[in-house]
Amino acid sequence: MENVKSIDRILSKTAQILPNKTVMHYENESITYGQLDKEVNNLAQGLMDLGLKPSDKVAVILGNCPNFVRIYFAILRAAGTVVPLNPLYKADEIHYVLNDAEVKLLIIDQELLPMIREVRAEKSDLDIIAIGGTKEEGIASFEELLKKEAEPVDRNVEEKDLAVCIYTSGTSGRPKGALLSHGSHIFLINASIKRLDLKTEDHSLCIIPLSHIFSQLTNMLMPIWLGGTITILPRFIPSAVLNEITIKKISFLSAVPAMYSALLAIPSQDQNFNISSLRICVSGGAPLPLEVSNVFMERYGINLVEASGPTEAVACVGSPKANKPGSVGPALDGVKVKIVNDQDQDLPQGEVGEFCIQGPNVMQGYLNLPEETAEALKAGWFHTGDLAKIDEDGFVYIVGRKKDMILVGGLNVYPSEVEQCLYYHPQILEAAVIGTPDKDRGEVPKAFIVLKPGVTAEPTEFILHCRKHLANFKCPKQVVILTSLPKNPTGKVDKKQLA
Amino acid sequence: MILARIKIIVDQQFIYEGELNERTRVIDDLGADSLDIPVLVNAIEDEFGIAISNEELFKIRTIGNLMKIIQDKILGGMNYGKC
Repeated sequence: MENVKSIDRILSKTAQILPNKTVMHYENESITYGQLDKEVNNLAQGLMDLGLKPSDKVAVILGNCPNFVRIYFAILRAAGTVVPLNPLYKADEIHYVLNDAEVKLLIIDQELLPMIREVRAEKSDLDIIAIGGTKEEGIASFEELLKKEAEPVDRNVEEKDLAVCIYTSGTSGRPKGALLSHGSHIFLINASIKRLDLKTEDHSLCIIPLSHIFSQLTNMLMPIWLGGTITILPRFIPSAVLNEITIKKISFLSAVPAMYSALLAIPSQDQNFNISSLRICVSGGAPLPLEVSNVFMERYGINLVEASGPTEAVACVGSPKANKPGSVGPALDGVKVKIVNDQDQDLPQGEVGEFCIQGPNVMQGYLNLPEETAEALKAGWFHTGDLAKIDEDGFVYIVGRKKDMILVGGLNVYPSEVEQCLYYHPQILEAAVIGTPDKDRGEVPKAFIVLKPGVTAEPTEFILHCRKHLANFKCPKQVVILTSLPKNPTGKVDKKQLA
Repeated sequence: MILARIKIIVDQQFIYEGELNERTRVIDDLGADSLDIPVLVNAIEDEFGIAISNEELFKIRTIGNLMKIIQDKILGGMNYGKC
């Protein structure tokens, strides 16, 4: 596909060539490219009629379903910026993002409306579109916008224009909005398709949340670029995944390591699954344990390839044709990578240091955070905070983290965000959160707290407190009450002594 | 009786506030994530000797949804009142 300057044009060009081909399957629904393009157009006009101006931010809180795809493309066609939010987020987290990004319009599943009750009361100028349910006063109906016929919309969106603002957790405790352009997406789509050798005939199965860039790329943008087909599952259920692969002859699967482990936990003799149609399986979001990769190969004869890259700069994708176990692959063509020491000096091949990335894939910066942007992009390279090494063939191996971060089933959790939440509890004097191994998720948060003098409480109280304010995956699975936290000579909590 | 048996399973896997009842939401109230739900359902299937289809799994939002599925399967769809 030549000369595509904006993400929404990917859909319109494919729809011109393949109007009658099925782009998406979901439950009993099948949608063609032509139908999707028309619906996106109607929605885009509807958003513009509601007052959406170029670059306005539109937050989307929706689980995996075709409406996410419709809305994503419609916002971009209307020259808006998509702010996708994990539908597992709690009210506080949603509230923070809506304020920080100065969101003009929120599109939300009607079931989640109660979550934003306080936000609605506070932000009377926020336009809301609800999906499903009965019509409510002051809230636009998504179904009405979808059906209202409109002329083709073209707001002349360019490569350099902002497409997406994706919030990613940070060491400061508050998530940061990574700003990604249409151009960076188009570059990533092309480079990843070439690396994976994905084809028009491939049928993808979408099981990871579309609110994440990994899923947006692998389960939406790459297949639509090629004119492929996508089956969307609303939830990850291992037996349903294997069933869908069998029935729909799925050839391309992207998932986090915890999901591949869960698939392997279903005994192969239990059900009549035939996954011989699978030809490319990508693992991302967290390091892939070698034993998972080995068992997958033994049982299904498929090489799991890894991909890596923070939200800010997806950089490396392995190749099914030349895979090195334990590596996340070489950098995508057109992306440069290097390893640096603490003084930001380049390190030679094979040495471990901070993994840095440069190229058209890198974000423009963090919204409203010039200092953090300058620090992350110093000397023109994105500093990932991951520790890695590069071998003689250019294959990258992620060996650890410089940043204090926990990976829960492929989702980033920063201990400082959980600690801040704990500190809001009136009975807590001190709190420290670490990652602890979990056989299903890789790691889960574990909290150590000191109570204020004279206070007694049960650990479960603090897990429930976190659950009111943080997405479930960020909440500690275990809280330990101590009389004091171990400290180093400078008075900082010494997390190495906690376990 | 069904609720009491579900409660034993839920108490092994989740921490929650208040009483478990039909309105208890699996994600919001029990704190479940996507990897918890298949584990819960496997335990329910073993306890009640039933098989829950993928279509039914996708629709489980509350303990009440789970109770109805169990009742339908072991009682043949007849509602004998609250359990």
